[in-house]
Formats: sequence, C-alpha cells, structure tokens
Amino acid sequence: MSGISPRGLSRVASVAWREFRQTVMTKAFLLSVVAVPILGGLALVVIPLVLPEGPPPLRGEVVVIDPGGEVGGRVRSRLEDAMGASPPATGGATAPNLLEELVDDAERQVLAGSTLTVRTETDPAATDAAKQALRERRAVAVIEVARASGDSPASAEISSFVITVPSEMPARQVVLLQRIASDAIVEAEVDRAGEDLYRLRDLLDPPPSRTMRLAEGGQENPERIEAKVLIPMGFMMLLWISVITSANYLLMSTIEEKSNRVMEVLLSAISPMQLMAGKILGYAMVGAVLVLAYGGLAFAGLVALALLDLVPLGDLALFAVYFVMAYFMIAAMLAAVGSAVTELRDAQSLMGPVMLVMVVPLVLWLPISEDPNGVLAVVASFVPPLTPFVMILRTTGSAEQVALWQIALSILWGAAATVGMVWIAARIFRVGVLMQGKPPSPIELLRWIRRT
Amino acid sequence: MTTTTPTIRLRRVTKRFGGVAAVEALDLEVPRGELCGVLGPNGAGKSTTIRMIMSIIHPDSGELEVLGASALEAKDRIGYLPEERGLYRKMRVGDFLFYIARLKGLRRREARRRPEAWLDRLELPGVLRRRCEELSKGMQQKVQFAAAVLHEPELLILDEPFSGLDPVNVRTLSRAFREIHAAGTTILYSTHLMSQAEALCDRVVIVDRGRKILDESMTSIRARFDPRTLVATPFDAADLARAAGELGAIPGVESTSTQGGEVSMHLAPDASPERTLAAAAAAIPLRAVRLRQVSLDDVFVDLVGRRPDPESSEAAS
Repeated sequence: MSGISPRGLSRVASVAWREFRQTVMTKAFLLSVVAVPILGGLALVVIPLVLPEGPPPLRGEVVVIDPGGEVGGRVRSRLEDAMGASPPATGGATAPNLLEELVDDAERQVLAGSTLTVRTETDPAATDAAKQALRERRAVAVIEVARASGDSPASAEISSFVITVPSEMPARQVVLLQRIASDAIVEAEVDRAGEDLYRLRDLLDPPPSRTMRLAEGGQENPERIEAKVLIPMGFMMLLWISVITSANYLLMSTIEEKSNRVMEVLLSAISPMQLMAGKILGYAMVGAVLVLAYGGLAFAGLVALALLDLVPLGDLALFAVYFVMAYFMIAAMLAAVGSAVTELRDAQSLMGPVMLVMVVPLVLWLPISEDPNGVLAVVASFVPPLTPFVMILRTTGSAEQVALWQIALSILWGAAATVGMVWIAARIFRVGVLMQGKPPSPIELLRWIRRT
Repeated sequence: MTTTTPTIRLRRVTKRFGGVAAVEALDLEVPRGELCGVLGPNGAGKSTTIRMIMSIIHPDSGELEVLGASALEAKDRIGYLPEERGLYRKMRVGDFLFYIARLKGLRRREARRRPEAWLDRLELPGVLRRRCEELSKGMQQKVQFAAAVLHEPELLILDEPFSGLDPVNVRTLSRAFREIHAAGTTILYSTHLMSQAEALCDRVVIVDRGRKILDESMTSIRARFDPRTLVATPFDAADLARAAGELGAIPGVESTSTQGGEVSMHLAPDASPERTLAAAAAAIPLRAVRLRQVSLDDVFVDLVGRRPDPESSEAAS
C-alpha cells in the first residue's frame, strides 16, 4: 500500500510540514496564539526583575506637625528601617514564595540610599514655614496630624492626617510615606490605649492549619483547594484550547483547499488517506506548539507562586497521552466535516453536534472536581470523545488516586475509539473531498461511510 | 511496461452518477508518445473520463490501466492539470511549486531548482517570491501548468488547459506543450477549442453523452470528412452571380454557393479535384483557387449535431 511505503510516508510528511509551516509561521498565529501568552508569562517574571532599581534617593527632612508629639518618633524609626534596604531574615520553614519576595524586593528599593531626617513640630502655626521649606526643596514631606477637637488638642484622639509632598515625587515613594505615616499613627493610638501593637497583631494573626482527607484505604492526604479545583481545570482547559484551536485550523484548511479548488491538484499527487494523515499530523504539531506556549505560561506561573509541587511528573505524562487521544478524536471529526463542505457557512450545520460534544467537558468540570471517583466521573471516562477530557480532570484533581485499572482501560479504550473515529473520518474524507455543492445530510454521510 | 503497451487503456469503462451515465462503455487507447485530444460538448463526460484515468474517482465497471498499472501506483509519473484547478492564495509561488514537486517525488534540491526554470520557460520570471493571490488569472494558470509538468512526467493529462487564457498566453503554453511532446511525453488533453486541437493533436477522440463517437488520427479525419469543395476568388468580385454560373457549368461541379467574395464549388463524388481546379482557372480570371480543408469544427458539429437527443427521441417515440 502506497500509504505506508517510504514514498507514502514522505508524502504524508510533506503535507504535515506544509500545514504546520503555513499555520505557525504566520504573523497572525505568532501574535495571537504564541506571543501574547509568552509575553504575558515573561512579563510576570521578568518585569519586576528589569524594573529600575528604585526611584532617585530622597534627601532632606520630613516635617511632622503633631500637637501631641507622639507620631514623629515612630515615623523616624520606620523611615530608618525603610532606608536601611536590608532584607528581613527568614527561616527556611517560612520562606516566602517568589512572588512575595519580588514584592518585598521592590518595596525595599523605594527609599534605598535616601538620607532623611525627621523634625517634629507641635505648634500648628509651624505649618506655613514647613511648606515654605517644602517649596524650597529643603524638606521632602510635611505630615500634618489633625486631632479631634476638645479642651486639650495635644492629648485628643488623632482624627486624620494630611501629607504634602513636592509635585515631582514618584508615586511609589508617596505611597510608602503614606503607609509609614499611617502605621506610625496606628501605633501611637494603640500605645495610648495601653495596648501592645505587636501583641495585638499576633493575636489577630490566624494560626496555621491543615485539612487532611482520610481515604478508605487509611492513607491521609492533605487537602489543597487549588490542587483540587484549579489544577484540573487548568489541565483540562489547556487540553481543550489546544485541541479545539488546532483542530479548527485543520477544518479551515480543508475547507480552503476545497473552495480554492486546489484539492484535485493535490489528489493527483497523493491519495485522500495520505492527505488526511498529513493534515492531521501537521495540526497535531500546531497543537503541540500551543500546549508548549500555554503550558509554559502556566508552568512559569506555578514557579512564581511556588506551587510547582501541585503538578507531579506523572500528571504531565498522562496529559501527553490524553492530548494525543483528544486531538486525534476531535481532528478526525473536523477533518470529516471540512471534507464534506465547500464553504465555511455550510460547516456550521455539521459543526453543531461536534461543538455540543465539546461543551460537555466544561459542564462536567464542577461535578467531576467535586467527586472525581463518583459514578458520573467513572461513566463519563469511558464515553468517547469525552474520555481524555474527563480523565485529565480526574487524574490531576483527585486527592484519592484514580484506580490504575481505570487509567489503563481509559487509555486502551480511548485508543480503540480514536482508531475507530479516524477510520470513519477517513471514509467520509475520501468521498467528501471530491464533492462540491450542498453539504451532505446525515444519511448521505452514512452512505459515504458504507461505500466501498 | 513494454514500448508497445498503450500508455492509457480503457475497456468498456462506465461511470454513473445517480441514474445518469456520465461515461458509458468507453474504450480508449493512447499509445506511448502520442498527443491525443478529447473533444466533446459540455457534459459529454470528458472530465469524468480524465478523473477516472487519474484514479480520483473509480469506474462502476470496466477495466482501466495507466502506464501499465493503476494511476494510484503511477502518480509520480503522471502530470495532471484538472479543470477545477486552484492555488493556495496566501502561499508563495515558489513554496507551492516546491510542495507539489516534493509530493511528486522530486528530491529536495531538484524541487528547489526546477520551479524557477519552469517559470522562466513560461515567461513568468520573478514571481517565485510572490504570493499566489497577487498573480493575474493567466499567470496563475501558467503556475498551475508548471506544477503539472515540473516533475517531467511520462504522461501529461490536461483538462481544458487553454480555457480563460488570452492569445499570448495560449501561444506560450502551446509552445511548451509541443516541446514537452517532442521530448517524448504522452499527452492527453480535453478541450473545447477545435482550432487548438487541430493544430496540436495527432489523434482526436470525440465523446458525446458519455459515449465515444469518433476516435481517429487527424490525417484520417481529414480524408474521411473531405468536404470536396473548391473555393475560388474571382478578379471581378462585383459580379459573383455570373462567376458562380460559369464555374457551376464545369463538368463534375454539382452546385455552387457564394459568400464574402468567394465562390464555393461542391464537387460530385466521382469528380477529380485537380481537373476541376484546372478547368476553373481556364473558365474565368481568378485571383486564387484552393481545395477547402476539413476543420475539426465541421466534424464536431457534423457528428454531435447529427446525433439524436435521447430524451427527444424517447418523447417522439
């Protein structure tokens, strides 16, 4: 048979490479499908690293006008901490994740290298002189603390504060000065109430907790809500988007070849089977590029959030298996649809049932995530073409291991179903590619499948 | 395949679409190295026959052999330009031709080299890097022709290769056509252009309503459909009626007719054209006199026009 001879394989490879190249090496694809997620991922990780080290250092005095005189000293001690720019010591057990580290690093840079002194004025009449110093750029900020009106303004409660800064001060420095002033005022108020701010913070800090799930077999597994819901959803969406997008390219390309009348030229050089095989393989490579682009972005996100342990290597291997299965099933369906119609609008009627099937995994996401080993999940695992989508939800989300026999059976059954679907698609494809005019009815499609 | 084996052989090939016979019990043999034209009115079954030869569709019955096997096994040795032809609009011409050349089995280096050579030969220099959609229809057609021939096939099958082309491009393609044939390639092509077929073909097959109604060499057709008509151009074009009368009186001339300053003398079956021609020259002063050649148009109209329409026949009976 020419299809599996070296010449036949060479033709299939030529078709596959053309389809891949003509799809992936286009500006539209590179921009819309690859560049956006990759740039998004890079932005997440790289931008904090490449930002300028910090705004220019501030030099001068911060004038605190506080009739009670309680705030100035607290502002000074916080400013000294911020200007020190030394990272806080952390123990290994409580190491912050990458994202938190990036935020802390960025904050430490805001006042790094600055030389600031704090002057406290208790007389509100000093405000004008302080603002004059601000205009002359001798001062960098004036903090006016307002107290509730009463007999003794010096001992009254603090009601609000106003911070005045030069117009050119970078926003990051303004925000930090606001926070320092605010924290200092809160500390002063707590002290005046006879409480210890740090003790209060400790009391309000929730204790560390863990939730364990006890399996029927007796083993205890930690409950992680992100692992149970978000990771499976991420895997399934990655599978769904890459398969649907690449199979849709296959559909469009087949319709284009028919409407452009290039199909008969191709069929003079290759058989319909070789053409279909080449197209399916070509767009499988497109799908793989999508998986790498979007999967790579997700991977970068997990690294940034220090959640990489949520994705064991075994899950990635299963994802690869189910991706191949899902892609070949859906691509076979869309290749058959594409071959049977001449215009894109004609494809809509045949695409309806296919899209209906494709929506099912999205609908099943929540119930299966809630009960990955329930009856619904197990039954849906063996209904092609839902098998790969449901299984990826189950295997990546279940705290309790999915039975090994179910995984093995889903792969074997899925592979058999894939071969069957590709065979049916091939029967439709070889007749459909030569047909012009109105799209076939379901009965005609059945006739094409039976035709020898 | 031996040198005596026909390049194409069809025996009682039939193809039906629904209840309608597109091709019925068709026999056809195209010897190696021949340039054979398939003529016929619209819907005669020409394209269906060609598609069956290319194994794109399969006959319902009958035997079909191409280059000693089925066309599926000999695709790399066949060049094909279908009637319904197209290009990838966004693809560059060079990439398209490279792709087709690779599908036809050319090695990578040859597949890179030959497209440019063929485009130069077809007077399309500098289009290699242009996208197909940027080309005019005529240019696209020449690119499609290049795609059909660049792997130097043993058999070239062209379905209406000149349709839609301007006279300059027809001449360019005709020249390439002759060169390819002169190099030993067997060519089968279908056309509506009788004059092209007449000028290019060794042999002509006429099909009508799925059946073959003529299969002869051009020489044989000319002899068989000899109109036995002499056309004379008198010096005195003002009085054609008198000239027609005098020429009609020559022995062996059955009747005369006039048109466009010429007098046509229709000869009796036993009359000698040479003697009648000499007698005509002696009868009145003539500017020119010639024996009219049969044209394929005449044969086509004669054969196809003579066949009763089966539907009307049925209605009449």
